[in-house]
Order: sequence, then C-alpha cells, then structure tokens
Amino acid sequence: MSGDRRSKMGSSFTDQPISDATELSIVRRLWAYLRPYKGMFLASLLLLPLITTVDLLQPYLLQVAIDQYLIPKNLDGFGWLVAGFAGCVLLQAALQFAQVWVMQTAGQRALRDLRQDAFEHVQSLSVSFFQRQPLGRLMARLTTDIESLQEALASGMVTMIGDLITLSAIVVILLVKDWRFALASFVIVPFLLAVTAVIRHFMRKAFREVRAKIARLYSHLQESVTGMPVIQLYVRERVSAEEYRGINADYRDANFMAIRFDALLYAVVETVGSVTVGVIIWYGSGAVMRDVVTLGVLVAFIEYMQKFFIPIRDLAQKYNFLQSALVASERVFELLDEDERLPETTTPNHCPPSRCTSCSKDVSFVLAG
Amino acid sequence: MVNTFVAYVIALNKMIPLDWRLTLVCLGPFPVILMLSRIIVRALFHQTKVVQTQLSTLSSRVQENLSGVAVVRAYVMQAREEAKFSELNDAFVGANIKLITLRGALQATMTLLAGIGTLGVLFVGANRVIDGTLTLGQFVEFNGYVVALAFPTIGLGWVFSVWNRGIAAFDRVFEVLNAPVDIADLEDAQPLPKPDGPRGHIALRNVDFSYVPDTPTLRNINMDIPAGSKVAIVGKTGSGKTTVARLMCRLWDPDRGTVEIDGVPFTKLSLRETRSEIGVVPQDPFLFSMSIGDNVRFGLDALEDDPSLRRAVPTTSLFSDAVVSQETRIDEALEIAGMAGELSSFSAGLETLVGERGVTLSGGQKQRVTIARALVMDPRILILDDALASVDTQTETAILDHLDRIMSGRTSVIITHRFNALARVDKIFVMDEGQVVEVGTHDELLRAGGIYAELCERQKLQEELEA
Repeated sequence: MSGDRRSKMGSSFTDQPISDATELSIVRRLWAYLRPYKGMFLASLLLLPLITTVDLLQPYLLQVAIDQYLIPKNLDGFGWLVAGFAGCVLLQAALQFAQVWVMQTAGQRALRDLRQDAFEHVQSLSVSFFQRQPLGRLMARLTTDIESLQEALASGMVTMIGDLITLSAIVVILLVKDWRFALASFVIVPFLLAVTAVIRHFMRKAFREVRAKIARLYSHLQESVTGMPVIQLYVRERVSAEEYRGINADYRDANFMAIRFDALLYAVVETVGSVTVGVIIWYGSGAVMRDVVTLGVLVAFIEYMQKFFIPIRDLAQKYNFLQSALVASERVFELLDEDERLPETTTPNHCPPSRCTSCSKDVSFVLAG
Repeated sequence: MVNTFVAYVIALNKMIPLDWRLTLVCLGPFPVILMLSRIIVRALFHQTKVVQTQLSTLSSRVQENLSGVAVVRAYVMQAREEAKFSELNDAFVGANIKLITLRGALQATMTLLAGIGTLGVLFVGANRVIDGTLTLGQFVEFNGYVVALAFPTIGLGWVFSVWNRGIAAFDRVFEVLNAPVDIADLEDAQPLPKPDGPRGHIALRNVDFSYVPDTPTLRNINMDIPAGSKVAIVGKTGSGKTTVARLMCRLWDPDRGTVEIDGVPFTKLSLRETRSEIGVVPQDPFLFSMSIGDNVRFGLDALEDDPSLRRAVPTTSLFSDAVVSQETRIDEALEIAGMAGELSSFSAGLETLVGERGVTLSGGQKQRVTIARALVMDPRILILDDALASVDTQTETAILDHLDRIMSGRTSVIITHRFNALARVDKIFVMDEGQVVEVGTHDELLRAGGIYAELCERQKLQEELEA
C-alpha cells in the first residue's frame, strides 16, 4: 500500500445495477398492491376527465361572454353565465381536492402494505443474507426507496393521466373551433416536443447520477455514525470530514447538473409558450379583422394555449418522478424476491420437553476465505 | 419571489390607470386567499414535522431490527417485531393522510385563486364594457393581466409551502448543529508531555462517574499505573471495567476527580494529540467496510493527512528501531496480533474486503484486526478492553508474548475476565460494583484470599468441568 493511497470508508458500497425487468412487469406488480384499493383508484381516475371538463369550460364561457354578450352589448342572462363560471371554479377546486385525496389515501395504504410486506419478508430471510448485505442498502430498500415511491405519488404522478386528457382535449377543442387557427397555434409544438425529449434524456441521466451519489453519501454517513467512537479514538475526524466533503461536493455537482436541465426545460417551455401566444395574436388579430374568427374565440385560444403549456412542462417533471418510482419499486421487489432462508422441514419434529440437547455430527462450516 | 414582485409592479402599473376599481375587485380576493393559504401552510408545516418524526421512528425501528437480526431470530421474535412495525406503519400512514388532506386543501385554494380573478373581470368588467367606460380591448387586456398574475401568485403559495417544508427540515438539522460539544479542548490545551524514559503514566484520582444521573457507575476510583507498566483490570460483568477504559481515552469525562496522562489532567491536554497516542481495542470489534489493509492503516491516514495533528507518522519497525515502510509495519502489526497466518489463507490477502461491520470475519479475526489497527499507531498507552475474549487461550498467550516485547517502555492496560494471562502483569485492579476493591499482583491477591481468589477459583473449576 503506497503512502498516497487512502482508505475510504464505505468504499465497498456499490449499488447493484438495475436488472432488466421491464417497466410493464414492475407496474403489474405494483398494481397487485393497488388492487385492494381499486375502487378508490377508479373513482379518482373517473374524476380526472370531470376536472378537465370544468377546467376547459372556463375559457369557453369567456368566449361566449365576449361574443354573445359584450360585443352585442346585451347583458340579458349574463348573470347565469357568471354563475356558471363561478360554479366551474368552485367545482374544479372541490373535484381536485377529492381526486387528490382519494388517490393519495389509496396510494398511502398500498404503500403501507408494500412496506409491511417488505419488512415481514426480511424477517424470514436467513442470517447469512444479512452478512452479505450492507445494512445501509437494506435500510434504503425498506425506507428511502418506498419513500421515493411516496414522493412520486405525492407529486401527482398519477395526475399525468389527467394531464394527458387535458392536453388531448385542448387539441381537439382547438381543432374543432377553427382548424386553421389551431394548426397555426400548434406549429411550434413539434419543435417543443423534440426539445423536451432531448432535455428529458439528459435529465434522466442526471437524476440517475444524483441517486448514485446520494447512495454513496448515505453509506459513508451510516458507517461514520456507527463507527464514530473508532473515528474519534483514531483521531480521524478531519480526514473523514474531508472525505465527506468530497462525496458531498460530488452529490452537489450531480444536483447542479440535474437542476440545470430542469431550468433549461422550464425556460424552453416558457419561451415556446410566449412565442405561441405571439403567433396566436399575430394570426388571430388578422383573422378577427377579416371576421373569420370572433374576438371571443381569440381570447379563448390564448387561454387554452396557456392551459396547454402547464401540463407539458409538468409532464417532463412527473415523468422523472415516474422513472425514479419505477427504479425504487424495482429495488424493493428485488428484495421481496430474495429467497435465502434456512430450509424448514414440512414435518417438523417437536423439541422434546426436557433434556433438550443438541449435538452436532460431522459438521463443517465455512465463514469466509 | 422577485419574479412575482416584478410581475405585480408591471401589471398594476397598467391595470390601475385602466380602471382602479376593477383592479381592486379582481385582485382584492388575492390577499385574502393568500392569507387563507398561509393558515393552511402553517398547519402543513406542523404536520410535515409530525410525518418526518414518524418516519424517523419507523426508520430507527427498521435499523434496530436489522442490526439485531441474529437476536431477533434466536429468540423467535419475528412476529412481535412485525406487529410492532405494523403499528408504526399505520401511524405513519395516518399522519401522511392528514398531510395529504392539508396539501389538497392548499391546492384547492390555489385553484380558487386562479379562477376568481377572471370571475371578477367578468362580473364587474362586463358592466363597464356595456356602459362604455371600458373598451372590449381593455377588457381582454385586463383579463390577460389577471391571468398573468394568478400563476405567479399560485407559485407564491407553493413557495410558502416548500419554504415551510424546508424550515421544518432545517429545524431538525439545527438540532444536530446546536448539540453542545461536551468533550473539547480548552483554549490553552497543552501538548502531551514527552518525558524521557518510559511514557504513558496513567492516574485516576477520586473519580466518580455516572451515565445516568444519580445511578453511579464508578465511585471514588483511584488507580496509579506507572509509565511502562502492564496492568490488568478484572471484575464481573457490569463492575465498571469498560467505563474506566472509556475515561482513560476521554470518550467521557468524569463527574468528579481527574484522569491524568503523564502527570497532566486529560482535560487540560490537547484531546486529539493525546488520543492519537492511546491505542484502544474496544470490546466490540468494529471494522469499516473496506479492505483489511485499509482497516489496519485507518489511524495512519490521520497522521499523514491532518496537519492539525503534530505527530509524526511512525516509521520504525514494531520489533526494532530500523526504519521500515508502512507496508512492513502493517504486516508486522498483523503478525503480532496473530492474524498473519489466517490472512495468508485469504486469496485477496490484505485486500480482502470486510463486509459491512466486518461480517465476513469471525469474532476472533475481527478482534485481531482491531489489535493490529491499534499497534501500527505506535501508541504509548495500549488499552485492550476484553479484546481477546473471542480468541482461544493459546492464541491469547502468543499475542500477549508479542505484546510484552513491543510494549516495553510503554503502558498496557488489559481488561479481561479471563485469569490465565494475569500472572504476567505488574498489577491487577479488581473491580466490583463500580469500585476498586483489591489491588496487587496475581500472587499477592491469591494469598489475600479475597474476591480475586474466589473468582480465580471459580473459573478454574468451570474450566475443569468443561474439559
């Protein structure tokens, strides 16, 4: 061992590469945990199109207000329209609350079952399994990995479905309203999709890096805390702190990278959004002048397009959460598939009540080496 | 936050000249809703803390279960463990659902905020358009502003929420950062004196110590361990032997009395410099998850890399005064610790990785690696806290023979409950219920016929029975 070689705490920690289980098979196993709560899930999924409806009704009502009441300067029955709008807003808030609550409550319960299963499964594994597995990694499976599933759930990963409904509904509504105008508005969307796809690719890489770095950070931390008396007695506090500084910096850099892509994505979507509104106004104002499109439709278009870009931006983020949730659940399932137990006979002899002596015959045993 | 502020300044600049009353109607609900969201956010803050606490309870439960897995198995406590976990799991989920309810309420509030501005524009603005005070263009423009402001305001609500989550976490981090350092150097800490001749005089004077207030662990301990001597501390389990060792390396400070190293109270000495001269082999042979070689050189890293330690890296052979490489010293230390033979049977030798907490090594192997780890540091005081408990008597004798040779001129303290090795030490302290009850050499104590003689006798009988 040369002088410049330093021992590194937790250096034997490597996270196993993720197996090639398909996303579909993971989702199928996750579904097994959701099944007991499928009523709740179904209910919350059914709420999604309703929410989209009341959300997308609002620009339409605005359009009606402008075209049928304000331009003719006739307010007969306008109160109904305002009441309808107010109803939509209230209903949207209420439905969103109900949807989130039902979905998350069901999700929490499913995760509770998963957590309990994982814990109970680990209880049945043989002690030799624990000798091979670093405690830190097992802890991560049982806590942080299930936590990241929970995070994904809390971030509204499932509302991706709602987002997709909203997006397609907007496309359809705009096409029906005025297909030429709609195509003009969407002209920039393919470009947006391409750019987000590229950024998303790099983001996924960056997030994987973040996960790897944090695992390293945790394992160092875990060893440091358990071995603290030894570190202090061997006056290694500062050397260990220095090591930690390096690992911490790596983790920070990985995060910087991820944040950079995140910000880039945000900026791109924002810019494209503004450009699109510009296009709508430029094309739309001409159309309004030529009386091809009413002013109300123009306003509605702008509102719809604004509603269009929010889910697009969020989709990328939610997709990331989905990815890390899949990775996390895969790890938990790997643990659940671990089947190392001491064999137990199906016809056990009972231990005689007294003079229970155990004697070993021809026993050989290898611990290491 | 800044973004939101700028958006407001620009938008208000345009909106107020257009129609200040309409502005008031449209934006009036914003602060009210924000206030409402503040209240929810405060509840969220509280609930987040509850959830985080529940999570750490759950995690420590898992950690305890996993680290004690052998005990759990041996006592067939799986079912009880599972039930306990299930209880905590349910509580955690309950707290989470409460949190979800609050988050959902916050989100609903934000949705209301987004819609209510446009509602105001519709309701009041429409009348203005009809009576001609507002053109249709201005009406549209106005609505544009309200929508443009709604999103940053919602953002503001989220910022509050995230901010509060952060604060909740920050609070907990600060609990750690603010934890007082109770063992630290005095401002005028002295360097460890370097007397000529033997080094490593230890003295405990009138030492009282308790881990828990009012339950004394040590009472009025007096020990004088001359530099260069070899002493043993014996006594039944729970008599306070390990606590004495912990005080000797200042893992704890005594409640009363002093611990002196080479004539200076430990509390006045530079802590880290002094510790670097004390080699402790703890009862629990903790190894880090790195190679055996890295574990042995664990303390050398600090001497090489930490400029605050004014201690030269030892370079002489453990057996002689010859200058040798660190590799050689590590090999020597492993040899003295009686580990060299077994090490050569491992295919990776020194590079053999020790699983987390050294699980792939046997207890005795681990103990010997920890002894080597202490020896390479060239300590002036070596404390073996029951460090040979897991090796057989022959290996024990061999190790002690080696130690006799290399520890001349330094001090060794051997804590043990085995009596085979005690004939060779200069002085034995017998402890019972936190006090030193007998002091003397092996022969003196046997002649005295006290506790020591009795313990000795009992062990001899036991060995005969087992043989």
